Amino acid sequence: MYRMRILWIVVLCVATRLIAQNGIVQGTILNEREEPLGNALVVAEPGSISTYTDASGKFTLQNIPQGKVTITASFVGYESASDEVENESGNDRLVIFLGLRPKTNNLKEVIIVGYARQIKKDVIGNISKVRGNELTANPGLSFDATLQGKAPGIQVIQSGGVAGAGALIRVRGIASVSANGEPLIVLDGLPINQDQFIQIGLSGNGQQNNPISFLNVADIESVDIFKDAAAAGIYGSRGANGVVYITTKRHSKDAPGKLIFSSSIGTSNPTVKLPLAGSTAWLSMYQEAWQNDGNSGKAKLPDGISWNQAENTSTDWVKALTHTGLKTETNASYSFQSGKWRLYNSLGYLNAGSYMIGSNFRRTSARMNGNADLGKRTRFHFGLNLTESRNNRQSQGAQGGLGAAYSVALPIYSLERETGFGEAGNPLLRRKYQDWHTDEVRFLANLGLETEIARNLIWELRGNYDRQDLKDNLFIDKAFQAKDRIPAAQRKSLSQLRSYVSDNYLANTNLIYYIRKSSHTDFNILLGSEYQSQVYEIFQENRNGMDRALTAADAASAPKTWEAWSFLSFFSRVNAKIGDRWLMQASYRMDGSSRFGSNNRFGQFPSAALGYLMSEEPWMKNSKVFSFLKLRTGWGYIGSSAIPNFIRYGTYGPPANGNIYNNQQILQPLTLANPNLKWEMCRVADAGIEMALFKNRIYLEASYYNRLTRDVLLDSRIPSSSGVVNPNGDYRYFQNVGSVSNNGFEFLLNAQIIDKLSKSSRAGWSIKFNCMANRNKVLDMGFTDPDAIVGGGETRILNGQPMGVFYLVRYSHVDKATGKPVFLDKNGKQTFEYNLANRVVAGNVQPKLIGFLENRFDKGAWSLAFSFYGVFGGKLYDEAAKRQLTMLGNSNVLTDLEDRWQKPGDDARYPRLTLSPLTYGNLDNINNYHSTQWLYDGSYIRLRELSLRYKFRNEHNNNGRKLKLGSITLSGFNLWLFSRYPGDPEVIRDYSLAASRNISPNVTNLSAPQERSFMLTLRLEL
Amino acid sequence: MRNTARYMVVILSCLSIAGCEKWLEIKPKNVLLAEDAITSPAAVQKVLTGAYDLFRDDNFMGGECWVAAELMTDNLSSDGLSGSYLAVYNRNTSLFTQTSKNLWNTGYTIIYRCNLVLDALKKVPGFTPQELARVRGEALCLRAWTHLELVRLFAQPYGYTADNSHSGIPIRIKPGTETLPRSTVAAVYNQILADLNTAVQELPADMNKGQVNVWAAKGLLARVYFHQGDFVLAYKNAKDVVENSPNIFENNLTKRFGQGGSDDNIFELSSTGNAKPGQSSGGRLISAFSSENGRPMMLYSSDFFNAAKADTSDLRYKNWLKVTTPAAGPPDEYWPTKMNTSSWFSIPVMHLAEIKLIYAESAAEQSKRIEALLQLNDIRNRAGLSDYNSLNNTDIVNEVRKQRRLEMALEGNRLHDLKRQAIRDNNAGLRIRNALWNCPGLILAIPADEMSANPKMVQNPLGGCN
Repeated sequence: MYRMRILWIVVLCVATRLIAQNGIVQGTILNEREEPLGNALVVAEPGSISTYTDASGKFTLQNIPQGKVTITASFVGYESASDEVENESGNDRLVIFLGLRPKTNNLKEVIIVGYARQIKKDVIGNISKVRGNELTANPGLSFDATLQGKAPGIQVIQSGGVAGAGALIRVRGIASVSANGEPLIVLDGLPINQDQFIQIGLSGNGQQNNPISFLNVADIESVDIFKDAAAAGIYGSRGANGVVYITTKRHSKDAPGKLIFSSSIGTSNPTVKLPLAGSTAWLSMYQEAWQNDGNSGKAKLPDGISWNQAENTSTDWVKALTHTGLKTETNASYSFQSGKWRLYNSLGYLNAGSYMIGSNFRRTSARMNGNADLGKRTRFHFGLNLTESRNNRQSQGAQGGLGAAYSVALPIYSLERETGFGEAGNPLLRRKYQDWHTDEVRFLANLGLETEIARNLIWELRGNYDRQDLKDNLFIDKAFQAKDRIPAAQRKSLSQLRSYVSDNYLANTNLIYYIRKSSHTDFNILLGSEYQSQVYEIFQENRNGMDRALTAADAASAPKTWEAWSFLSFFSRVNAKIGDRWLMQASYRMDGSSRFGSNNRFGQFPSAALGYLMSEEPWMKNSKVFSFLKLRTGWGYIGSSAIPNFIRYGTYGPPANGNIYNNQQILQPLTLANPNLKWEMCRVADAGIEMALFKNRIYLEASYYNRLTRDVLLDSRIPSSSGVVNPNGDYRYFQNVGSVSNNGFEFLLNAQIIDKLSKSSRAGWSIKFNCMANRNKVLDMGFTDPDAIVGGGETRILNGQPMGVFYLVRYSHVDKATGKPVFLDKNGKQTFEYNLANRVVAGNVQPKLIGFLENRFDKGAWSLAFSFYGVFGGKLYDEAAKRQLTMLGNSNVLTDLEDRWQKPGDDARYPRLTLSPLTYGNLDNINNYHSTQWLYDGSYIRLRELSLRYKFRNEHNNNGRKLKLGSITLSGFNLWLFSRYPGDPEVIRDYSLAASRNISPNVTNLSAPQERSFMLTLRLEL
Repeated sequence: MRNTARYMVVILSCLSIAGCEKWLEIKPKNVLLAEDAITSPAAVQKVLTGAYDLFRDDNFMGGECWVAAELMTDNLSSDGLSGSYLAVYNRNTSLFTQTSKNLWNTGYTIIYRCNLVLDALKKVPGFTPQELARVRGEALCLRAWTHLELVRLFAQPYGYTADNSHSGIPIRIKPGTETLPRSTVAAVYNQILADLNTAVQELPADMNKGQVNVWAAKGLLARVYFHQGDFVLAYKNAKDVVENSPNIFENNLTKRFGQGGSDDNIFELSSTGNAKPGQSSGGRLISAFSSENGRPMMLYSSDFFNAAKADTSDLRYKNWLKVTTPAAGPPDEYWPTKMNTSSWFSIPVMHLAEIKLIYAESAAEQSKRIEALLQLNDIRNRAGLSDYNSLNNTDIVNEVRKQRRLEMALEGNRLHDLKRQAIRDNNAGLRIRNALWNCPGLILAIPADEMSANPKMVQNPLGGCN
C-alpha cells in the first residue's frame, strides 16, 4: 500500500501596524508527518535575512522590511516551500507555518524485503506496504481485520461481531486444500504461532481462538505484504499463500523524545437485524402448516406447550440476548533516545464488549523495543512484548446469543422456559449458568546483533522467541442442562479446562556483502541460514458434578498431548542495480521440514526477477508527466507444508476418550505411516508496472500474476470400509495430488486531486483506490467424486471449477396448484422429487472482484474520510434459512414467509407450510434439503469507515514536554451495507479443518453478523 | 588476527546450523510408532480389546445395531423421532443418514482392528499356544459377528435370491486401504461361517462374559445357520450350547438388563461401573429406550402393545412396558421399561433365551416336537405363562416366533426375523409395517464416507417402502 501523503502548508498571516524595517516573522516548520523539523534554513527575501529552526521547529526572523516578503524554508532531502506575507506597517509581528515534503516522496520509503530492507524504488518483488496509521482504527478489531481493503491482491473476511474474533486472509486467491491457506505472518522477523485451529469450548459448539488477538495495532509501524515469488521467495518454504510481515515501532535516530497518548470509546451493534415473525404470526403459520397437512383442530405445539400459554407469550429473544456493546481502548507510548540507546515503550489496555451480551475481550499489552549502536561497526536491537488477555465467550449459532434468538428460541417460549430448545437449551439460562472464558498470556522477544566484520561485509545474528499460554475455562452450573429430559435431581455441572502452551523459537544468521561500484551501480549478496522450532503441549480436563470451575491444579494429572515441528533453512539472494536503471534479483531457498519423511524432506525454491526504471533514462528524466516509471517481472517457486505435524508417522495409542473395556487397557491404531509426502509447490509469474505522475500527485500500480500450484497437499479420502479411521474420526490419508491455478489482476491508484499545498484554498481532496480480480481453477484433483472433499454448506471441489463451488439441487419455483417446491433435475426438467443425483455446480464461493475506495477531504484542521469496501460476484449459502423460512425446523421464522403459498393459484415466493418434511420432496429432515433456494448473491458494498477528525496543535510553546499535536476523531464503522442477501454477507465460520476454511467462506449458519460501531478517539502527542 | 577470529565465529555459527539435520527428526510423544507398538502379546491383546471397545460402542452393538433394526419394524412408534432416526423409521435412509454412517464406519473399524490382530499373530513372538489360539479365536469371532451385523443391515437377507448372488458387503480379511467391491451375500456368509468354524476350534470354554468364548461362537453359528434356514446345523449348535455351556437358565426374567447381568448371558458387552470412561456400555440404548428418567426417545407402537397384552399375566408385559397417559391427554403412550436400570448395565448380545428359541424352532422344523416343547415351555414358564404341551410342530414354530418377538423386543431381532420368516414360508406378500419385507428401504443406504471414496461401491436402491 502506497499513498501520497497529505501534504500541507498552513499560512496564518495577520498584518497589523506599519513600522518600517522592524517587522518580526515567527513560525514553525514541520515535516510531512506534522512533526517539527529542526535545523531547517528559513530565509526572508528581500533582505536575505536567515536563521535556522530550533529542535521544536521554531524560528524567529527580525528586522523584516516593510512590504511584501517571501519566506522560504528548506531542508536537506525536502522540497523547499515558500510563502508570501506582507509587513504592512513595517513593524508587524507575523506568524507563519510551513510544511515541507520529502523530495522523492514515497519512492524512498523503506520496504521490508525479508531479512533486509530496500527502498521502494528499487524493489522488484510485488510488495504492498501498509503503514500502521492506515490500518483501520477500530478498537477490538483484530490485526488481520484491520487490513481489509488496505492493499490490492488480498482478501480479508472478518469473522463476525463477536469480541476477540479474527479474520481470514487470502493473498491472491486460494490453492491449498488440506494445508492451511493463510499467509505466513512474520512479526519482527519471527513467523509467529498462528494456529487458526485451536478449538476451544465444548466439542460441537467450539469456537476458534484467534491466534493474533494479542497484537496491539497501535504498536505496528508497518505491514509489508509479499505477494509474488520474487518477494515471498525468500520465505520460499512457507510463502505459497503470501507473507504478511509486521514491523513494530522503534525510536528513530536523533529524533526528539515523543509521548503519545490515545484513548477511544465506542459502541457495538449488529449491522443487520433480521425481521422475525412475532408470536402471533408464528402461531398462525404453525396452525396453517398443521391444517395444510390434513389435520384438523388446534395444532399440537412443540414441546407440549398449550395454546393458552403460547398465545400469552411473546418473547423478544433478540432484545434479551443483545445490547449496545461498549468498547474502550487506551494506549500510551513513550519513545526517546538516551546515550546510545533508543527505546520505544508502550502500554495498552483494551476492553471490547460485543453486542452479544456477555461477549467481551479484554487485553493489556506492553512492548519495549530498543536499538543501540555498540561502537562504530556493531548494532544491537531487541523487542519485548507481553500481552495478557481474557476473552469472555458466549455460545454461538443455535447455542446462544443472536444465533439462538434467530433459531431455537421461539417467541412462544417464555424467557424462563427450560425445555423445547433441543440440545442448545434456553440461551438466556445458558448465559446465566455458563461461565466460559479464555485467558491468554503471550510473550514475544527478539534479539539481534549486526556487525561489519570486514569492509562491506555484515554479519547478522538473530534470535526470536514466542510463547503462547492459553487456558480455556468452561463451567456450566448444574442448574442448566441442555438436555431437555434430564430431571433436575440428576443434572450435573460440567467443568472443563483446556490448556495450550506453545514455545516457538527461531535462530537466524546472515552474511551480507555489498559493493557499491559507483553511485549508479551496486550489488549485494545475502547468505543465511535459519532454524525454527515450535513445541506445544495440550491437555484437557473434564469433570462433572463440581460446584466450581477447574483450576490448573485440578488438571495436574490430565494426559498431555505433545507436538512439535521444526524447519531448517538455507537461503541466498543476490541483488544488483546497474546503471541506475536495471534491477536484478535472484534468490534461492532450501528448506527442510520435520513434517516430511527423509525421502522428500528438503524443498528447493528458486526465484528470479528483473526491473527496469524507465524514468531514470536520460530522455525521460525531465518528463513533465512521469515522475517515476518502473516495469518489473518476476518468476519463482514458493511452497507450503502447513499440514499436521506428525502425519508421516504410523502410530498407535490409547483411545482419546480414555476408554477401557472389561477392565482392560486399549491400544488402537491412530494414523497410517506416510513416508512419501512432499512439499506443495506453487509456481508464480508476476509482471507489473508502477508509475508516479505529475510530481507524484498520482501514483499507479498494476500487476498481473499467474500462480500454478502443484502437488497440492490433500487429505484425500479412503473408503470407510477400510476401517482406517484417523483420530479426527475421518477416513483420510494425506497425499500430494492435483493442481490449482490462480491468475489475476491488481490495480492501485492513489491521487491527490486537490493538493492541500495550494496556499489559497487550504483544502485538499485525495482518493485511494485498489481492486483485484482473481480467477481460480482446479485443474485436476486426482479424484472425480463430487463428495470427495466436502466443505461447509455444500461446498465441493470439482475439476475444472473454481475451488469451493456450491454443489446443489436447483430450486425452480413454487407450484401454483399444489404449493409444493419444484426442483430441476440434471437436465433442467421440473420435478417434485428432491434427488441428490440432480446436484449441479450452482455458484462460486469466491468473488470475481474486490475493491476499496477511500475519499479524504481536508480543510484546515478538519479532515473527513470515508471508505467503501466492495465484494462482487461470489455466492452465499444460508443454512439457517431452511429453518427460518419454513415451519420445519422448530425455529423462529422471518416475516418474509408472509409471501407463501396458501391456496391453489397463489403465485408465491415460498412453498406451502407443512410440518412434514416429506411434503417438500422425499426427505424427512429439512436440514438435508440443500438447494439453490437458500443460495444468495454474496456481493456487497459497505461503507466500511467514515471519520471526521479535528487536529489541533500548540503553536507557541518551546518546551518539548507540552502538547505538540492532538486530534479528536469521530468515526463510524460498517454504517451502511448494500446487498441482496437479507443478513450480513461477510461471513467466515469457525471451521475446525483447514479444508473447510479454505473452500467454504460465504457459508452462514446463524453466524454472528458484523459489528456496526461508533467511536470517539482522542489522541495527544507530547 | 581479530578478523580471523571474527570469521571463525561466523563460519562456526553457520556450520552449527548446517550440521543439524537431525533437528528435523521430531517424533511424537504419548503415542507409539507403528514399528514399536505391536511387539508383545500384551500389546496384541490391547489392540484386540480395542476391537471389543468399538464392538460395544454406541454406534454399533451398544446402540445403533439394535436401534436401527427396531426402528424399521412394527415394534416402535414414530412419535418423538426426528432426523436420522426418523429417516430409518421411514425406511428412507440416504447417503448422509447418520445411523447408517455410524454402523458402517464403526463396523469396518472393528474388522480392521481384528485384522491387525490376526496379522500381528503371525509376527509377534512370545505367545503361549493357548493364548495364541484364544486371541485368534476371539478376533475371528468378532470379525465374523461384525460382518454378519453389517450384511444383515446393508444387504437384502440370505435367501433373497435363490443362489444368494445379490450384493452383500465388502469382505475385509486383511488390513489395508484398498477399495473393494461388494461381495455377494453367499460369499459374505461363507466367510462368516469359515471364521466361526475356525474360532470354535480355538476358543476356550470357560465362562468370561465380557469376551467371546466358544459358547458365544457356537451361539452365533446357531444364529447364522438359523438365518440361512439350515435347521440341522442351527439345532446342533443351539443344543450344544444349551446342554454344555456353563450358563444356567436364570429364573428372574428382568435380570437380563440388570447390573451384574443374568446367568443367561453368554456374551455381554461389559460394564463394570461408570466411574471411568468406557467402563459402561449402552448409553445409546439408555437414551433411546430407557424411561427411568421420563419419556424415552423411542416408544413402543400400539401393534407391539397389543401383541404383548395378548396375555396380561405375561411378566414381559408387566415388567418391560408401561402405559402412560401424556399430560396433554390421550392417546396413551407405551413406554419401554426393559432397560430401566439406572445408568449402566452390561448388554447381553448373546443369551440363553435366544439360543433356546433357536433350539425350539429348529427342533420343531425337524419334527423333534418334545425337545422343542421343552425349550419353548422354559421360556413361557419364566415369563409367567403356562406350559403348552399339545401343540403340533407348525404351531410350535408359530408360537416360538411370537415368543421371539416378546422375549427379544428392542434387541434388534424382529427385523431379521420377519425377513427370515418371509423367505422360510415363501410368503412373498409379508409386510413389515405396511412395507413389503424386501422393499429397498428396509436395508440401509451405504454412507457417503464409502460412496465418495470407493468407485467400486454400488449404492443400494433407496426408499420405495412407503
